[in-house]
Amino acid sequence: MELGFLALVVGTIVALPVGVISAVRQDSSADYVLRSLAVLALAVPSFWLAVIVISIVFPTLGLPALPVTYSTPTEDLLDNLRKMYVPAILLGVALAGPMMRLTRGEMLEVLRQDYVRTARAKGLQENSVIVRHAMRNALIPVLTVIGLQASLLIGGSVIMESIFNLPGMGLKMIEALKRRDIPVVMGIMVVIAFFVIVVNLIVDLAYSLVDPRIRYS
Amino acid sequence: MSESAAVDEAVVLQDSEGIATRLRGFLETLINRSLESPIGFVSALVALVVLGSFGFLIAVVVMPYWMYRRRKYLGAFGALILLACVLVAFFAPLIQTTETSGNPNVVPYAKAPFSERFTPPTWDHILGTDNLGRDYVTRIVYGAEVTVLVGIGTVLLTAFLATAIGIVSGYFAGAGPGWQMRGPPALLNLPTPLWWFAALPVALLVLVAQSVLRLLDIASLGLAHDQFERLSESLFGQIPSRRGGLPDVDLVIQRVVDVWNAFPAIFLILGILAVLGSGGDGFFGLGRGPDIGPQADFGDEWLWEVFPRTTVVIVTLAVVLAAGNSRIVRGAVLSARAAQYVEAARTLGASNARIMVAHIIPNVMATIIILSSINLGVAVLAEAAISFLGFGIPEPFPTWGRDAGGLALTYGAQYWWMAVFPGLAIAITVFGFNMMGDALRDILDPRLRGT
Repeated sequence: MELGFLALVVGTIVALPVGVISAVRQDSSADYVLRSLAVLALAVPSFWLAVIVISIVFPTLGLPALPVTYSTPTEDLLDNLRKMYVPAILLGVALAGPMMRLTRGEMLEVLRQDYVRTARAKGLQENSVIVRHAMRNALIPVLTVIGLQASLLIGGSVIMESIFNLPGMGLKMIEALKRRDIPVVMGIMVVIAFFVIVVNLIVDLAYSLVDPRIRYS
Repeated sequence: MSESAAVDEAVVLQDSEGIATRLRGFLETLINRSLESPIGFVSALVALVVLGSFGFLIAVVVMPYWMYRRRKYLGAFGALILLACVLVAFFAPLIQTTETSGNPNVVPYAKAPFSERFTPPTWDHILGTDNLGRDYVTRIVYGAEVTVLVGIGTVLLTAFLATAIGIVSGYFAGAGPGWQMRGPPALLNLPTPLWWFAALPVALLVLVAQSVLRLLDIASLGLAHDQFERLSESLFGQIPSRRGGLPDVDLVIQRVVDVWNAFPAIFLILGILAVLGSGGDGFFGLGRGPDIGPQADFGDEWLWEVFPRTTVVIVTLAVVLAAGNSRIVRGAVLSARAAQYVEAARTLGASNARIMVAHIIPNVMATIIILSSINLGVAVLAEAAISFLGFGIPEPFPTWGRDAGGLALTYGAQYWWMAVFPGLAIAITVFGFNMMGDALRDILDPRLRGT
């Protein structure tokens, strides 16, 4: 759960600005580079990326190895994060690919709208136009996708948890499956389905924050 | 599945007018035959499967050139990768670089000369060897067989399932021009509340039975419509409002799809695979894999040995992918259904099955082909992931996912080639498939261009 949340944060932090930049500077070299990176992020399997990072990037850069033991965030937050940051970044990057593409597409569409031209004609600063007028409207479909990604996140965390040996639900599921422990599998499935539904509900409610036209009374 | 490939072929060949017309005529005959009798339906299905397989192969061969002519250079590159994958998989025994000398009973990908273990990339072993001395070129080349088999099989099956679900669901969805809204079931329109409560259990039972009969009717493409109708009438009396009295098939199917979608795909896949089993002890023995050691002795018969397990993986992936895809197909069907030619066909007295097969399927074909091309990459990635987790095709048969995972993780830090190459194979392949999918989408659906 924590891994999924961290990955979502990382993914959003990466994807939104990158998508916006790539849309604002459409067809520039930065746009091309960012777009090809996003396409690559779609194609590279996350577990292979993890293997590469662990076995090649870490020794080459001389980074400290990940801690072997695991401590919960309430026990020792720093130690927990030290174990978590690599899988979170990897999962977040995998997530950021499609999100960035969508953000870019939506931004391109929104930037051609009349109200953006109006905002510019009013003499607003470009930053303000992009953040307050364009981004807010482009975010709605992106939000939907973030909601849909919730299930992908939990799924992706299965692989990350088994590589980085994080005692999460995914690892539990794998162990139960290998032991053919069907009741445990069923229990985990139900809990996860419940979380997915709750996340989707939260996303539905979050629409009203982004778009004042949508109201739930 | 087969139809998607057949029309795929039609699209590929659209430049040469003569073949396309003849193909269309052939498909027309097939549709007519299949709607005439159950035997015709089955034989048409068989013909389409055969035609579809050929069509798919032709499409794979023609695709790079076609993309190149449409100035989709990245797409042409992706199509070339697909073609290369199919060729490599087909000619694996010729391409592999392990020496064929020694024990002829040992398959090349399992040859493990102990003295050559952990060989870095050299001319003898271009991509190096693993901890048992197995050559990585050979393993990747043979692994392409699994990738191609699982990828294409999953795509075809997913397209078939998603089309079937999406069309039935979308075609019978609630409202739409020219479509009578379903009235409330007549049995529940009882006058007094008391009556209502007393009749509720009975009514529910009757409703369920009616729904089952109707679903069976739809499942048989309406071929047995009269029989089911007669059975239903004899059991429950005449159903009022014959045309509008269908149960809300769309609602039922969509709720099932909702439930299906609430589970993260990989959990669902792993769960199904685990229940079906992997070592001969599975459900109906479906999970039977080659449970022989690394010195396996199945020579040319690998397909026969690996096939049951591959089938299980394909079916599992397809079932899980189809649930999400059927939504998109349903959306396309909803818009196709509103078109005037559907109206015209209905006015001419065409049956629901005929409208679905002859008028709606050809018009949602572009959506299905685009979905399939996207699925190709997804399926390969998913297969790699489940192989990595140890639920895919079992040892000793090589799969890219397993090679890129466990051993690479253990030894990758000391022997870099073990970490890099199998994963690189996956990454390049999936990248190519994605590029091809993007180009195909640009060509077939100009509205989505550039997104």
